[in-house]
Amino acid sequence: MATIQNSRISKLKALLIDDMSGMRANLRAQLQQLGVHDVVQAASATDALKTMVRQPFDLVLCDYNLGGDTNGQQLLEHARTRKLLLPVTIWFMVTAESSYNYVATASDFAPDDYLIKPFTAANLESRLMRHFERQDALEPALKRMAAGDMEGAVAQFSKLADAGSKFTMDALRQKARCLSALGRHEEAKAVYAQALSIRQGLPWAELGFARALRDAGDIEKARSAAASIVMANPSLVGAYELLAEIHQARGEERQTLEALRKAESIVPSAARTRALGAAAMRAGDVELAKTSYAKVVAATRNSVTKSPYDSAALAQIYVDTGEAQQALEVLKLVQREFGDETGFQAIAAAVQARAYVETGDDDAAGEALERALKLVENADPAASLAVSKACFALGRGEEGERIVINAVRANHEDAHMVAAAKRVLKEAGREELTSRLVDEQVQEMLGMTERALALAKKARLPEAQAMIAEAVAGLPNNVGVLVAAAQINLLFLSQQGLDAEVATRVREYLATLDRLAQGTERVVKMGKFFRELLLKARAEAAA
Amino acid sequence: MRDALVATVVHDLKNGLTALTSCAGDIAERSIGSALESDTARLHAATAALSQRLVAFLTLYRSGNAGLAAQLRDNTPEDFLHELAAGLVLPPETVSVKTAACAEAPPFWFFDDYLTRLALEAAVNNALRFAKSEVVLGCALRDGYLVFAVADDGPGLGAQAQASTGLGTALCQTIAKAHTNGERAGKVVLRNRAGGGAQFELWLP
Repeated sequence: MATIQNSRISKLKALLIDDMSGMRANLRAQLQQLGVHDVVQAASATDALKTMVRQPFDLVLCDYNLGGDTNGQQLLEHARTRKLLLPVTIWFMVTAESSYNYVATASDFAPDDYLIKPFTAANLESRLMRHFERQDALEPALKRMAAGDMEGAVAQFSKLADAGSKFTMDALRQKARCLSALGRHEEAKAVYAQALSIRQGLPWAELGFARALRDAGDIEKARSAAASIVMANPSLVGAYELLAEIHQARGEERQTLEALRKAESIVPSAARTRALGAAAMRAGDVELAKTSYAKVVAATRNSVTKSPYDSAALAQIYVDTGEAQQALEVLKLVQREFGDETGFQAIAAAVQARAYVETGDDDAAGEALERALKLVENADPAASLAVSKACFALGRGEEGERIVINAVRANHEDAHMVAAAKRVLKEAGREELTSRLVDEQVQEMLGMTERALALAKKARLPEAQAMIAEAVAGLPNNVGVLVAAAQINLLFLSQQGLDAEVATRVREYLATLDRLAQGTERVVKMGKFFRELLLKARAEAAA
Repeated sequence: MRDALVATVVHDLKNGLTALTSCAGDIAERSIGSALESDTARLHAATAALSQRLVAFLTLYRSGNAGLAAQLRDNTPEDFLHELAAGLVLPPETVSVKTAACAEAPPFWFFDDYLTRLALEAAVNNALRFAKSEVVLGCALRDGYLVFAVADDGPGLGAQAQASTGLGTALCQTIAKAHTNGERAGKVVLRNRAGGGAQFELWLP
């Protein structure tokens, strides 16, 4: 072989990642047989990352088992997340036959192909040719996708799938993704169902279908679909992650933790451990939160993915559990390096204030709190809560209350944030405040809704529309507010004729209602009324 | 403990053999046109065949009682056969291996291309021992199954059974069974050809 070299292959700039020098030499020789001479080698995941930061590659041949803490799958996820790969970079995962099953089912964050050892240069060449053929067939559609023209991409993928070519399944998969991105969940479901009618039990199609169910608001069906996927594919990480999202949305903290723990154990990554830590905090599982964040901090210590917020979270947990000294040490390690991260510095100062209270250094505590209060003005809600906790700890309850109330007012739609704020107030013995501060906002918006309905009754529609729009903006997921908004705007359409902008607004309200209160008689009736209005308008336009 | 030891030793052997095969391939490549061309090609083919048999053994050994898990992906059967044929390492004096036109094959089918390659390589190696002039690979859709066929023009089935260690057959059966689609599972069919010779068939649902 190798007498006729393919020019497309020989132009590739390749990166070889393997911890065994013999295997690297072997792969290098195979690439040379294919005419690939621009080859860089890396002996570890860390080496590989450093190399990828410096220069982009067309082809990555990565062994799954890299000897150290990081495996090929983790490295791939990491490189994709950090955008170290070009859109056209080809990633081939090299695996031993013994681990192939495990590797191949592990993730829907899949490489472009798997090469199972032993393989020859001829095998590698045909895999590359197969990849190019697929890339060429999908390119027109992928280009539209990259340009943000999802509608155009859907049309292109449909054409490919309808032609019954060998790329039918790729086309269906991508088409469904585009439809999901467009928010056309019912159509996405239909495409996944089409793929499943071609082959039952396809993991990616089952998972896509379950995601589309969730996105369309059919949470219960999505939950049972995701549960059966993990039964049939116990190492499909994406299914556990979907399950975790669903449980989280339903407020089922324990189940959320279970699913995240499972995902993290299958393909460990800092991002997954971090998600587990955050969920554990929300569920009040302090020990799990502590071990998770400690693991993230340790794993990313010398990594480019190091985030000071992991250290901040860990330090907060330490101070919460009375380990003030540890909290101070964790912060000391990152505080200088992230001097210009205001949010982090605010949390760090607040945690230090509380830690110094514990160690009896009142002067240092006061000084740290002053710093925290100065920084919190420009910081995010998480920092606000940390600073308010410090206020309570140092006996400055009024300031603490003020900070919590402002943070909640600015972020009242963020359920996690509101729940965290409630916890802070509860710990400070000010539980009575929680209902007040959340309800205030809701009451204001509901009052606005009442006034908007009253205005509509008096035929002052434009004012009613403006007011209800404001109420929806304040409470975007409140069924009562949305029903009123749909009613007022439908009234406008039936009286003033079809207005594209108003019709779009109604469609959005009804879609959200469909998600929140699917099947409710009132919602169904409004949907029917809306469709009739549209049909009537179309008939009139045609006449 | 003993099982783990066997697995480790075979794994080591396999890695060594892989390196040896790759090295032999390199030497064979560089010997083209020299006096050693035929000898080095034979060396390469012999190491490749050994390597392939060891992988077959390891695959069967690991499958244990639970059987193998097939990773089903959509593959194009005709492309797959061409790749398989291109990847074969055959000794110089052997008969030719051809790929027939696959007019009746579907544009794509779901199967584990790695396992299917192992099964068909074993079938090809077996056919090569009996073929007089050629071995022909083909594929077609039959009764809702994708059927890969390896045909030889040797003496037919009766003569072959006695000469086999059974490793190849056991491997193919296990791989066929690993392919399921709903209630249906894959199967292996061996038959005599009308015009003489034997045909191995791997039926994948």
